[in-house]
Amino acid sequence: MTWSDEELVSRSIGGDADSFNQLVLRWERPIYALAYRVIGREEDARDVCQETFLRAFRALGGFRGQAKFSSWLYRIALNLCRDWVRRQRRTPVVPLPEDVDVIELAASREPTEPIEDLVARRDLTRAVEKAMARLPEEQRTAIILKEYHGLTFQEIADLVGCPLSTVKTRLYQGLTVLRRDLEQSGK
Amino acid sequence: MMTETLCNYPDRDEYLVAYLYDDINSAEQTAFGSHLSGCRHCQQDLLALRGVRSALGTWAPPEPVFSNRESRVASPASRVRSPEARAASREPRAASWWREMPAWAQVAAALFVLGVSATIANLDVRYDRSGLTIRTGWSQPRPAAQVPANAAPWRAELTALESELRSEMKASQVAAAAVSAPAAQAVVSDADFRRRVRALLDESEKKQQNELALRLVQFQTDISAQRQADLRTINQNLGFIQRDTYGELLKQREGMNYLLKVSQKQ
Repeated sequence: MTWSDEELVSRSIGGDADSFNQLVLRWERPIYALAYRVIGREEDARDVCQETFLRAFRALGGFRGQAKFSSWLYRIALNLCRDWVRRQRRTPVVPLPEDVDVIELAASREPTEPIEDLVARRDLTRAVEKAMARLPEEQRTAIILKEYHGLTFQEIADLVGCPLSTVKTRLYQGLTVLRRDLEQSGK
Repeated sequence: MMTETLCNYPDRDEYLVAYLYDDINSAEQTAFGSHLSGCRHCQQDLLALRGVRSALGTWAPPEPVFSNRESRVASPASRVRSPEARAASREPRAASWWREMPAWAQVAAALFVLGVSATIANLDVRYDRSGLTIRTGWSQPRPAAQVPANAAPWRAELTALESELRSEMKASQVAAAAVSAPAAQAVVSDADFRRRVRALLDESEKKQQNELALRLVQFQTDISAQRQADLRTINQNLGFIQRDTYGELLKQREGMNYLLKVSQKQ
């Protein structure tokens, strides 16, 4: 039998630590993916992910179930990401130099995929990543939550605390900027 | 941000994005759908944004490496097992990472345990002609000659206490051997522990390598920036010197001309 998030939460509050462990296993990847896409660094995304669950665990007693557990978790993660972005603005980290390792690429490709296609796909991914990184934080967050986490506009509005129409506008503007950026980079 | 739109549909951008993600109620969808069929500008915009969504689909985060956990093996959904299934499986489950100590504390604890174990076991490591020999103090009875004949009376008491302790330890070892299952479990947990420490050390090493790489890049960037600044300063100074020299030359030339004129008049 698979317990729902809410059931696992109430069991965790009742002292069943294993239920919380199951929640962690269920949500660690989405939370990590969210953190990675917002802050763009694997290690820091992992740290944010762990910190999210630690905070959730500590604050579990205060969770009254007004919102979905996932929304509550996303909110914690987004707040941590925001803190990270603020810290980064003060002390930016120099990113590692980018280089394409063809051998590594060849090893990771699908058996039927030509190397040229793979390189093109990798280039496109990098262009998307760069374009996303240039977006204002609000637009980036809206796109990430909608595109990769499938939240409804209303859920995003509740999560980030802004009107529904603002979410839609941010999303449209963000996508439009991405479109222009990708066109300029020839993608 | 102003949108360059040639369409007068009210709240057109919001409807377009809602239509794009299919997050729109059916009445609005029908209305915007019929507008779309007649508006070339909206059609092009929608098509382009679908292209952007398709490009976004290529961006996946790298596979997370959560240290030494079963989460790396299966998908999150398949990892959720029922309590019955968990009870049925007797394998020791991995401890929850969110309840674990930090890595440095675990490594410190491991080293501490090793140190204490070596001390308690009275470890004797020798490397001689016969090769490497590791022996614990408990396995070899100490020669009685170690206690000198003229030792103080407390030494004799200490020796007696030691022998008493040894016999008690021997008795407890015999008792522990009788309970074989927990002992086997302890061996398993030791192996787990070792694996865990190894994984932590690997992770720490990887972290350090990344840090080093970052610092190298930072250093390179700093050097490059400094070099650029130095070059700018040198260029600037050269410019000043050139200007001064040119000014001096002009003055000298004027002076020469004046002297020439004066000498010609005379």
